[in-house]
Amino acid sequence: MSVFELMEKHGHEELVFCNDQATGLRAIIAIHDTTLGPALGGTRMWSYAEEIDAIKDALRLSRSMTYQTAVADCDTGGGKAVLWGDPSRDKSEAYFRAFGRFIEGLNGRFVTYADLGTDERDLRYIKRETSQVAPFVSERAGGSDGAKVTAQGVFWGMRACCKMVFGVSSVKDRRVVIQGVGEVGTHLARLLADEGAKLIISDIVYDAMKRVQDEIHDAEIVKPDCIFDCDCDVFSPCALGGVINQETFKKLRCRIIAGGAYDVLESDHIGDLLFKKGILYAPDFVISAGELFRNADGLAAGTQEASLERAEEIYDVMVRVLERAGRENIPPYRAARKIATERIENVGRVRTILTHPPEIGL
Amino acid sequence: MTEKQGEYRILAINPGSTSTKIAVFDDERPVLEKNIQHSELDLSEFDKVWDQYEFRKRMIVETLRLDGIEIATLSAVVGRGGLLRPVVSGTYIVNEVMIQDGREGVQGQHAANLGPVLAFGIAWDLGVPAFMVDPPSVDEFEPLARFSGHRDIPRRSLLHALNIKATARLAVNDMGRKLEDVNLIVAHLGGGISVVPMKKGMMIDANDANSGGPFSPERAGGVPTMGLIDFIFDHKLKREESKRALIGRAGLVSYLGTNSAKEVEGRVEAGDREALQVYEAMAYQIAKEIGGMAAALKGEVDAIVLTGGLAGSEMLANWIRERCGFIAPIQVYPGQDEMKALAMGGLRVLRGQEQAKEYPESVETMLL
Repeated sequence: MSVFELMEKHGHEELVFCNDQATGLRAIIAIHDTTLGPALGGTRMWSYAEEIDAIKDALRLSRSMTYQTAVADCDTGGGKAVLWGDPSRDKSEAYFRAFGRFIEGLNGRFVTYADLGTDERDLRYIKRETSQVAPFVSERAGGSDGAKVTAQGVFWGMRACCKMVFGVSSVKDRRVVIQGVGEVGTHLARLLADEGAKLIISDIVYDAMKRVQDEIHDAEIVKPDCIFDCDCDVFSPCALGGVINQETFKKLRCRIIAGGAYDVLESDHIGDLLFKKGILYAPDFVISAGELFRNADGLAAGTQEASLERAEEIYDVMVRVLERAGRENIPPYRAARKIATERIENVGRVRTILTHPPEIGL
Repeated sequence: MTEKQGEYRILAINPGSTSTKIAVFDDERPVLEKNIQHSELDLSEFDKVWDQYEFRKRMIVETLRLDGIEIATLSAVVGRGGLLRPVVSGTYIVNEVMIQDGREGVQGQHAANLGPVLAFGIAWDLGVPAFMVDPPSVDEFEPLARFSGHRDIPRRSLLHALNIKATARLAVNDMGRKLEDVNLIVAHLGGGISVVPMKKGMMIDANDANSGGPFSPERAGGVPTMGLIDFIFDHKLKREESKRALIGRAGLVSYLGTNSAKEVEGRVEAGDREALQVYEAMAYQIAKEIGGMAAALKGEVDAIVLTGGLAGSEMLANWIRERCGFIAPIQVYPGQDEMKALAMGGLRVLRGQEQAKEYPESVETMLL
């Protein structure tokens, strides 16, 4: 499939290739949809095996951002930047400043923030060349981090799922399995433990689990390869994407899947299978929208404190999605996409109404 | 890189208060032994011993890397046990209950409590098993051994379990017999002295080297109780001062001003009569303790085993032999190799020669 065919398949607006030989910068900026506002998306740095892998990642993630921003009621569009390079080797001030100038050249169509492989230091270099960077954590009141906001959103999204499945939103005494206790998983564990959930955690790195257990002594641990076999109420993937696939799907013994990881499902088909099996899958682009609030609110000069509070709104967003899914008897991920698409269409139509008529020379 | 030269490569970890000893064995063959020192400055940033976990783990992994041991080649990791619940001796799979006990310090906080969690953490990341072997909290006392003479002061099992058990295995191997078929009396002669009657592999009694049994280079062992009470009150000693007087400033130190048995022997050879008398008195007390433990075994003793640093003293061994030779043959295994004892505990399980125990397995649960 050619690049244009890939873009046409999911309606991408623009794909920008940036090259700066001197710094070794090879970047791709994908803008999926700007109907609601400037395309918001993280800048990811990864050593992709092939150029096409980088292109596909940028296209897929930017599309996901469009859904996320639309369903979460933000006036931003979906975008993503990928830097094809090794984060441990290829970074330099000039590298990121060069990238900043390419973003600046887009005249506000794309706004970015740190993502996998990049950090605040890298974004500071980008920001010296463009204003199109979401405010940093340290620049916001409150000083809490993005992972905390994301976890807050996942927690409230999970509560909405519990309300739908068990009739009560509280997670008290619910057995929750958290796959991956990095920053998001750890914050989520704290929130769940505070409300009395029974935690089972797993991670490929023991130290991360020890840190959680040192705080939450009764959190059980299980080996990563046994995590899908755990009998639980909620399975919460907070690590890698694609973890629910044909193989793991068969092992699942939960009622709800709700976590902070992106692209949890290997394919849409798995989402349909989960629906048939009676497992409620909270769409990743809905439940992980806490970070989006942080960055989207940042654009509007909102504080981090406000972002934390706003992340609680994911409860209402999730309820809307689940109610729609219930009414139409479709998987929640499809309902969420419908809601997003309709909002983009409706707002797009509204924006055809003329507000600043051009001067007409008579 | 050091190529693996055996079926199994085992990392043994023994955390002390200011250092972490590590050793790597390819089967029985030692390929690395290091004592990683931790400065006061390094440790001062941690409020609790437990919080030193990640620091010590990083140091271990880095040391292995610098010494050419590819960590991915490890087959298992064995940690020294800490102050855990009373358990029967043996090799244990490190589990969450054990780690939780170490975190809480069920019998006190000590750097050794980090042994199991360090083993577990490194092993988890590699996907290999983690073990703990014969912790100091081993308790296989028979009920009668728990009586002291006062209801509120029970006798407790606190002994050098790791070395005692490892040496007992060596001894029965040399005898061509099995641990579960013989009765031994094992005397660990180190900075503290433990004398243990071992009935078919079980350590059914022992003197607590800190509060009973023979005096040793720097500990008092058992002292007359009335005299002890007067001593504490006469000197107006507080709890910790009292302990320091009996552990560290007693024994050979108290009589001769040194804790060095080598120095004492030099003085004996030079004709120092006081040194001769004190040193022989220590042997006399050890022999009496062995005799008492022979009674605990109803006289059915297959061998007396001397181990620990002081067991290398011909003078001491001969005095003990003179007084106890009538009980059973005496076998001597000088020194101690805790790192090897740890590694071999793991190796026996990997080879299927021993079944790893599930913590906590106490004498009571064994009898159920």
